[in-house]
Amino acid sequence: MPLYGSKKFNAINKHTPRLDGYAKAQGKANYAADLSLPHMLYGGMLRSGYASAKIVSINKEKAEAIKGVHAVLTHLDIPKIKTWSNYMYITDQVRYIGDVVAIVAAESKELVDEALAAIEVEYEELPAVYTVEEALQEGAHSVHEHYPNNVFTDSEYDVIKGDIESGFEEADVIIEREYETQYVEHSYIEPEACLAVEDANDGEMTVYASAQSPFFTRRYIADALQVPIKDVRLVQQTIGGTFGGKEEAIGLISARAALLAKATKRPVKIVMTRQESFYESAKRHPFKFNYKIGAKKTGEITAIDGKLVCNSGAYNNQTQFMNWRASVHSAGPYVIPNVKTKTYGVFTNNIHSGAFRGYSSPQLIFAQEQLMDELADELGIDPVEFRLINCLKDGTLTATSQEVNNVILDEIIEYSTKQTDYSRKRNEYKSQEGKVIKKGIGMALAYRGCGFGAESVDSSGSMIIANEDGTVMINSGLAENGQGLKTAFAQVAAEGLGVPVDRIRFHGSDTHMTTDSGMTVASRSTAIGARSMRTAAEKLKQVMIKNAIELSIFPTDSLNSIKELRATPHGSVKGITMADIDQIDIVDGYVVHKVYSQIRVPFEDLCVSSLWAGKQMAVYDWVEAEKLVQDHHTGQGKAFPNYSYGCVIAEVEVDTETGYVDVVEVTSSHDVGTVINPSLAAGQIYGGIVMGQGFGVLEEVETHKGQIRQHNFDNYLMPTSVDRPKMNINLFECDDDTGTYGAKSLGEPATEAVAAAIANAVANATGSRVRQNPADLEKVLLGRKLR
Amino acid sequence: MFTYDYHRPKSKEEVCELLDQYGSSAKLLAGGTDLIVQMFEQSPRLKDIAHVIDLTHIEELRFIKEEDDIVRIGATTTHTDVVESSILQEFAHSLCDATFLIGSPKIRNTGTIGGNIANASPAADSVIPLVAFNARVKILGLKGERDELLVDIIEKPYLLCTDKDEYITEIYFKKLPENTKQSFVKLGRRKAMAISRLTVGVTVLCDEVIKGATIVPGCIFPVPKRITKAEEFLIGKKPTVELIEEAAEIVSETMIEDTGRRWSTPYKQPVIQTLVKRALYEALGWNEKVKS
Repeated sequence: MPLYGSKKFNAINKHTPRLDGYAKAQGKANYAADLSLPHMLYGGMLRSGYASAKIVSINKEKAEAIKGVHAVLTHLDIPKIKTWSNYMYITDQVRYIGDVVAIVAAESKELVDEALAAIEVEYEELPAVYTVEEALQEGAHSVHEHYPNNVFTDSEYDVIKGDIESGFEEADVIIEREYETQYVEHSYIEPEACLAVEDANDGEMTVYASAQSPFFTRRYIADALQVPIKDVRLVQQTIGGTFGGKEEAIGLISARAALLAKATKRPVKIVMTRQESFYESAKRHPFKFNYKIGAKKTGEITAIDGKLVCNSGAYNNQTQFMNWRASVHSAGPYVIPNVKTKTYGVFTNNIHSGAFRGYSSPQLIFAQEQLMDELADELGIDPVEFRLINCLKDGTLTATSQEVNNVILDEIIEYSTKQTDYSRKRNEYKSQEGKVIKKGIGMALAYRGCGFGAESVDSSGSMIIANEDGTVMINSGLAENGQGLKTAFAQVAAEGLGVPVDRIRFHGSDTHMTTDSGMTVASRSTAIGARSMRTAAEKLKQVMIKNAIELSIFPTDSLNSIKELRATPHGSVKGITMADIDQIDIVDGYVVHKVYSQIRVPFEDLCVSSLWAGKQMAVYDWVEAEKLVQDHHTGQGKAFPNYSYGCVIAEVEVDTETGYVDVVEVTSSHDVGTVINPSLAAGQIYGGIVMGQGFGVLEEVETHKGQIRQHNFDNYLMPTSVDRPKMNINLFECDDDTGTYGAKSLGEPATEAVAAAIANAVANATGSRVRQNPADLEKVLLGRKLR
Repeated sequence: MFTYDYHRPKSKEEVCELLDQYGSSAKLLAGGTDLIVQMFEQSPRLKDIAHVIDLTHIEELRFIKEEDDIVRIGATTTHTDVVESSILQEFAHSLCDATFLIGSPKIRNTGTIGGNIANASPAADSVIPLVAFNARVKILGLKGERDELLVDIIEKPYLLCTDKDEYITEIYFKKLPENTKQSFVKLGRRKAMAISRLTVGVTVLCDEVIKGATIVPGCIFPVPKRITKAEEFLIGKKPTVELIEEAAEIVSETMIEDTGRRWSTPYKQPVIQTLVKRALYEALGWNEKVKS
């Protein structure tokens, strides 16, 4: 399939303005931190600042005595419960600097600070492990008693395919390389915020929160309060960005606010400062990769052996799920007959790692795509040709021996490299002697299993309701996170039902009003989650057509005109039976006859008649995930329903006297299956490029003995608007119909290959490689980290 | 959270009275783009501060004027005022260039030149060209006004050597001798909103040979200073690439002599040389050499 533009749809596959765009662009949108309620208190948290310690004693009397302080809670005041990732809402054992040892509710933010300062805590410092190497040493301090050697065994995954030894024997060239990536902060513009209020009548707890996955956050609240799920309601607020980050920390503060609201019988609001968000929100897992790869002189890769070790930090915040994904993609989008990779996480007394746009892929691709360039150079084969020889094609097998089809990766590579004149430039840039500012070009492939795959259940439900005036309400358990989900779902619903998009309102997630459809993560919502939106809308269409027939919705005069048109000598109308459901359709807001399109009635007329006739006007539908089976020991089997592919080409100018990398131009091409909304798709890719640029050249949360050096945007630097490169985007479509109308994941592919492409471009410019991300001033100039 | 008493004096003299009254418990607010951030971070430097004296409502502290061969800038003149001043663009464009690279438009609309000096950060961008111009400051106290070289009033990072009742009211400098060229170069980790990693400001007067030069590197010394050894090295010599490279080496050697070898030296040593070289090239109009 070619570039976007050849598919035929009515509502999807078209530029449509975001439903929530105007309010946000005009600054009118309200966020969780903007909420307030009468008699509301402010909540706050006390963090020890130690990387590893236990509480010997804690005295809150002075804090409680402050006028205006309504509650001070410590680990002694709540049931000793942990979140699903072993994280304590309030802890008595500190495992990293962000751990919370007390929470407070008071009349003002100032009083909260005063009360927190008045809490007296005596700590006993414990040994600690700060790096993966330290953590793995024999006799090292155990971060968690259940994992005595600090290896997070539940996050260990092997992929074993073919025979690795004979694979290397077949190889003419073998290289071994080590790559490393860093801690990265999500840096969403809105820090975590929530407001908890207890119902005075029956104690039902409602929390308004900047929660990425409302049902996931609800679980924390019910858990902390030890109440049934039915007694907790989570109302998602407009989100100012998440990128995977508003899962753990927002769950923790929602639970803490609820604990305080319950203790004080007053609404309690907690808004994290930026520093707190740096301390307690998850970071992108730092990885260390050891790869060995072999290929024949002719370019075919024969074997790959990889060790992929990540730093989980202090808690197992999703390392086990993320590592599964890492293992499936551990050999990249290549046909390699012999694969042996091992992936695991290690606990350290650092900030905890967690979900972050890409969910291991930006790290993996940083390593793999440099490895491919290095191997191609070693073989003396152009990197484009080398990738074309080895990349997945129709009927080939992935590292888990899953057969893939409708693969357009080679087409994407050829188009993108031709568009950017990649091979000519790459050769030309190899010799720039005497130049201070050196140009470089680099490519990297994106490769991603769509949705959850075998990691979790990828089922979802959606509801759709027609109103009496022909407008439509939709809802789903999947949530708008700023990615444009409401608009995409509205377009899908419009396509399925046959009404214009502007008639549709996506209500937004309130856990009392819709059903848990799993987390809003994994680039799964539009691609996989909206399948239930489609089926619900299509079912509603059938229901409404049935209503039209039963209510004889078409006016007699229009039928008469058809009769005149089709009058036969016997005065009968042949072939027009208004009772035939197959002959009626709903298109663009009209109920129409498929053959005689002049027979049409506005959808709103059908709706109002249906309402007063007591007809069904709503559908709730559920689409269950495909069953996927993998062998646990070898990882062999079907890991994902399908995959998305992409190619990113970065062009840089490196100042060889300062190490400054100017990312000048990025060309990003993606197979999105079916484009739901080209504007939103482009938006995802633009943002993904700049986020990938930050990962590649600027961003790092540096740790030193468990402390973090960056806790605000004065020294945690992301690209600004003047740093962004020129961006070219190519949207490819294909015939794979697995996803919603054939849509594939895009949010994460948009960012995952950018840093790798930049790294390859830097190597092209300078002739030396930065295998330790990011390519900052010091590493580019000196080839190493300064400290 | 710290709390403060806020004072808004109406005259220059009233500021001295307030400073005298509150002594070390008072801090001047001259825009706040550093101070408010330090307050928010609860900087230990502010632990004894209970009073904030806002200078930005004293109209007579905000001006840019030309008096014969002197250019005068009031202490609460904002960075945006500096960038947009036709007087400064004519006589001190490297100060405009340096100031334009500070923060973002919002920061430049709020932050002031006096605040930038008084915060005394080693990375203060506007200070570097001012030192290269041999700028002086007027300091007002209860006993009256005194006049000092800018470099002499910075005692150490984030501390001025002023008495408790004194503050900077004006920065001024003599227009550079005719045909003197100036430049400012900055290395940041990104193109905007970047605290300088390294900077250099220079002035050069040159015909056949170099007649005068000032060289001021930023971010490498605790307090800003001219590298007179490198400046003197250039005087009377014909400018060549080799000559300039040698001068740049003298700057980096001076850095190591003064501050010793540190963890950052392997990076700063070659790069400060590069920036000195580039600043001099730019001042000499050899722009093509920077990029080649």
